[in-house]
Amino acid sequence: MVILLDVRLYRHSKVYSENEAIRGLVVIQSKQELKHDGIVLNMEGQVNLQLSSKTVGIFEAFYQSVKPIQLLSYQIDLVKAGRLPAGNTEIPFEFPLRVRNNRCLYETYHGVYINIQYSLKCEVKRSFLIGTTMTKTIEFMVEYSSPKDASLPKPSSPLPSDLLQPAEMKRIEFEMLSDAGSKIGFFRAHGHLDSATCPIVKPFSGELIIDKSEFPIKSVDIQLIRVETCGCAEGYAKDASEIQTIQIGDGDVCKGLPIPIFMIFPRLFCCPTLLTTNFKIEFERIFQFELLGFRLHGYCIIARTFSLNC
Amino acid sequence: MSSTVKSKSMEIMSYQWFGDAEAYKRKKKGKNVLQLLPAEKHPLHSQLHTINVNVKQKLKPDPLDGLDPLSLNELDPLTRMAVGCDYNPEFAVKSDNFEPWNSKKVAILNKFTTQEKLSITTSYFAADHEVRGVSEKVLHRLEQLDLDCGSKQYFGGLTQEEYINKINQLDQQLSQAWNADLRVNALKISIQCCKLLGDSSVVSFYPSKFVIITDILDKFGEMVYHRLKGKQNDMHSAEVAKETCKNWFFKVGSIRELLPRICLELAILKSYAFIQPQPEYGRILSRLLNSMWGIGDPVVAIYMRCYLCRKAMELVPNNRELYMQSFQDLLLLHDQAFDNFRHNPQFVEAKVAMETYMSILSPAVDWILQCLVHRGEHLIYVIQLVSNLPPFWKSLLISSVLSTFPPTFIGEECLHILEMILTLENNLGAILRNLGLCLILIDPAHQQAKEIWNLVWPSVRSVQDRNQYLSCCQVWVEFAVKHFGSDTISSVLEDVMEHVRYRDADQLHGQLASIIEKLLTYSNDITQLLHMDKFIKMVTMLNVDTVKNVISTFNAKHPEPAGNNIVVNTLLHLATIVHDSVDALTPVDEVKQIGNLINGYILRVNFGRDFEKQLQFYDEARGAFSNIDAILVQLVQCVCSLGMKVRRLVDGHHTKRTRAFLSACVAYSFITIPSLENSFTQLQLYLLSSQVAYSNQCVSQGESCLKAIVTVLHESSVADFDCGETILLEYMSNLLSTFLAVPDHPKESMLYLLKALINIEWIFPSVYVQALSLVGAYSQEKYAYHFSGVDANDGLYGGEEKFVNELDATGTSVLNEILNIVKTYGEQNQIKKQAKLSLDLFNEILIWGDVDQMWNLAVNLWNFSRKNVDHKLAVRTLETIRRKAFYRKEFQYLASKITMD
Repeated sequence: MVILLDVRLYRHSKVYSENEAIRGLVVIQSKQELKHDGIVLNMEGQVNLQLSSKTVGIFEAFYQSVKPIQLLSYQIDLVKAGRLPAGNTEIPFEFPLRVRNNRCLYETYHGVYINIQYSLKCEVKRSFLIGTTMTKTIEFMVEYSSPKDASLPKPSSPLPSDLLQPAEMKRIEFEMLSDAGSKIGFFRAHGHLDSATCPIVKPFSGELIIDKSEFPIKSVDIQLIRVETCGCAEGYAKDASEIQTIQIGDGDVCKGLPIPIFMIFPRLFCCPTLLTTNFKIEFERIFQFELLGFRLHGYCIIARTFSLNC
Repeated sequence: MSSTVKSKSMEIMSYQWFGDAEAYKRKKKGKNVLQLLPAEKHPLHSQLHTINVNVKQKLKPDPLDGLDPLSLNELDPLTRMAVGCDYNPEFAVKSDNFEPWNSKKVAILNKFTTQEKLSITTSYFAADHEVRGVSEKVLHRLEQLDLDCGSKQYFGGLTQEEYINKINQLDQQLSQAWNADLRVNALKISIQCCKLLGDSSVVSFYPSKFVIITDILDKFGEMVYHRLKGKQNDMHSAEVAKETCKNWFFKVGSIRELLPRICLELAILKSYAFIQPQPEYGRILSRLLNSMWGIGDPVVAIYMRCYLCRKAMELVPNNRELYMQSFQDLLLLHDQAFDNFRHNPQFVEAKVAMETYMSILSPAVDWILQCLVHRGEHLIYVIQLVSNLPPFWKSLLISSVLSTFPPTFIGEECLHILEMILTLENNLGAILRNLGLCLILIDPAHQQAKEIWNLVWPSVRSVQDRNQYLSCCQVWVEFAVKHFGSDTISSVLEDVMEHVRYRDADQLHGQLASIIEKLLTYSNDITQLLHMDKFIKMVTMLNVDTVKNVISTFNAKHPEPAGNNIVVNTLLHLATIVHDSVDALTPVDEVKQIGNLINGYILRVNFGRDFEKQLQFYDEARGAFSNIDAILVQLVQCVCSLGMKVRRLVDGHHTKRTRAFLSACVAYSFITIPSLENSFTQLQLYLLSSQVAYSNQCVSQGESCLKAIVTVLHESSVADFDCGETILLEYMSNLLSTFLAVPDHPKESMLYLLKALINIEWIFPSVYVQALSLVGAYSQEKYAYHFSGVDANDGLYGGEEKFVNELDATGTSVLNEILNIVKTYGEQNQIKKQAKLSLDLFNEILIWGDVDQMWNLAVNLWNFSRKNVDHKLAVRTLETIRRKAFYRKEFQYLASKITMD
């Protein structure tokens, strides 16, 4: 007996924001009449934390898994126990996306040690005698709605970006310098970032000007690095990992002319900076210059780090 | 049935021919004389005229009632050119003088090639591998194992073709991956392609590489666009397309390397419309333009800006700021490019000249400039910017300015620009060439032209590189020809010859030939060119095609006859070169073409009333062009017409001198004809010459020609004549008609030519019928026509009985010959042919024969034929006889005898 179970959301992108209704269909396809003990739909949202083996040791990492933090949990009975006719059955459903108690809803995020995930799970319960219980899980994304998207209703709570002080939006000047005697020879570059606080839906931007370099440059890269911190019994475990690297200069670039810095945040792997009691997610950006020296015949890397507030 | 046929044919054998001496007189009586009307129009000519008018009417551009664009495609290319439309919609939209990328592409691919070895690194070549040795087989397997892990392969030492093949292979794999729904693979392959663009190590090939790879990218962009479009259209909602599109842009945006990221974003930028209905392409493009500052290699950087402008022309053709920004970026790139040129070890090693470096950059620079100025804006601003640049960059940009700006503008600013140019040292060749290309389009006034020329020519002469020098000359020669006389041209040619030595001619052939072609095309008076030593020297240095070109241009541009000794001799010399190029291996068509060419020249040579000289020329020509029959034929015909011209001049009354001249003419033909290969042509020419000879009272020459004809006919079988029956019969009737006006030779027997002719075994019975007609005509008292001043047989014999008997005897033998054939046809059961021949003979008897004496035969023939010939024909013949019977009593009897049944 072949039974296909599928959960479909009306919204193709599967991205929802707080207080929106999640609408969709449960589709059951069966060639014969289907007897069941009820169909149940679960909505769950949780934060999974994992400790890095680097900071606490393998043994502890394995043992001391931190309890997941439940953000959401709803359950609806779609159909009471009974029979479904043969053929396609479509059961529509609707959930409001609302927080439980006084917790807040975080954006979906997939990291190395921290995962914030939301899922819909449909279960067709069947007694042991008839057949096994069937389940189907799909993930949906939660994002804070951007004010630009007029089609979506505005959330009641203010956006993080709106809360930021104007002072924090100002551009950040920086300079990188290396002396003539050093390994990488004389090198000077300066530039600015448009802001260290970036709304996640907008690209990260700025400018970089290389004033002088004793040796030809091979490549200019920017790297997005996340720092995840998990709280556990023995204090905090902090880990940094790379999300993406983007090259902004290829080869021996022009001196004295501004090279734009531009990066789109990979949506699934980033979220607004989160600082909670149990865990933190922060971001850093690193500039990296690969210099090719004639004398050294090797690469030297000069790097500069900024912490970012998303 | 067969027994009756046999008995009849037995009877037939005893028939005799009796001529009717009165045939002409009776004819004259019964005939209405038609009035002669001079023909004013050639029937074909007028028809052609009306067609032209029709075409013109059809092609008139009418905004409302244009040609149906669908049917336009079916017109021939010439008509399309006349209509002046291009069906490329891209072109139609941009109209004005914007040169579309497609037309540039080909030029770039042709121009930028390399002999150097190229290399490629990619992980996508596993699809079809040519596996050669064992070691490679092992290697190949290992690679296949590795491939999933994304191993990279390095292909070094590739030639240009191999390299292009590799890229095409990538292209195919891209399509395959796409069609197999492996989008990620497709994206990866296109990233690989973009990476190839980053490598400018073999710089002289870079522009071609750019063209090939951007083609692939365009294709990729189109594929993405169409797929999204498909998503939007079929049952999915627009949201699906939007999400997929966003995904594409996220994917592309997170490509690590700079160059592929920019390239692919440009390639799929058109699809941005799925995210936002009115996308701000301008903003995105200008961001991408800025991020191009990150590209270190100036060659790559300039070409990427070119690609950006190309995409921008498709999306936002009116965004001026964008093009201005690209142009200004270009100006700022000077330092980087100059550094790169001076310090890049690759250029230093390969000793790439500055000119080469500039010529490599120029397609991209041209394109960027063209995008900026094609509407005719910013011209002066650009010129000002350019004039303040450092010399290195100025040289490059001026050359692009000249090739992209509207020529009229260049014409106005010409002297100002020239001043600027003359301060430069590099890239002068290309600059001057482009300047020339503008100036030949706008035709400056004579005074200005002179001024320009005086400034330009010395610097053209000072161009060091020979190729550059010649390509400059190619252009400026046209300018000189259009504006100045032969002195300037000859000084130009002299200078060119100084630069070029004989042994280089092969190498520089194309350019020299093009100089010659320009001269030929634009020169008003081609004879002036032919007077120049240098011109001739140059032409003779080049191959035969150029020489042919000279002759054909002469033919086309010089319709009036040429009598100048120098011109004629020069051309004779050139024509001899062409003629000598023909050998046993030359294709027939080419020989034909060369023949036509030289004939055209021969026809144009005319010394007016100096006939002796003319004949002498023909004599020389015969010596020079003895290998091509077509020319000899032409010469014989020319000589014949020369003879007739002389005859017209003396009005038929020759003096001793003119007669001798004519003998010489006929002798010329008589000698020339035997060397021809085609015997039918020989026959025709012999006949023509004999007619000329008789018309000019050169009886013995004419007779020898006729004798030659008979000899040729005797010696060759019918199969030798490739002309077919109809034409041969026409020829025979012409020949026999000539016989009528020709007197018998006093020392030979009567009618010896005719007798000799009918002694040949003809397979066409019509010849005998014609001969019978001739016999009939001979027997008339006064012949229908004569050569003036030549007595024909009527005058010689005056109807003497001996002559009449001779005629009847000849007639009888011809008659029997025909009857024999009729009989043979009967035996071979070829009833139709038999009947036809019988009817012909019957008619012949009615016209020329003495019906009184031959009615018996006539009746027999009639009975014989009427059943098997066309019924209507038979009826008509019968009616004619009955009508004749009204006024001729001898027919009455005949008419009573013959019936339809």
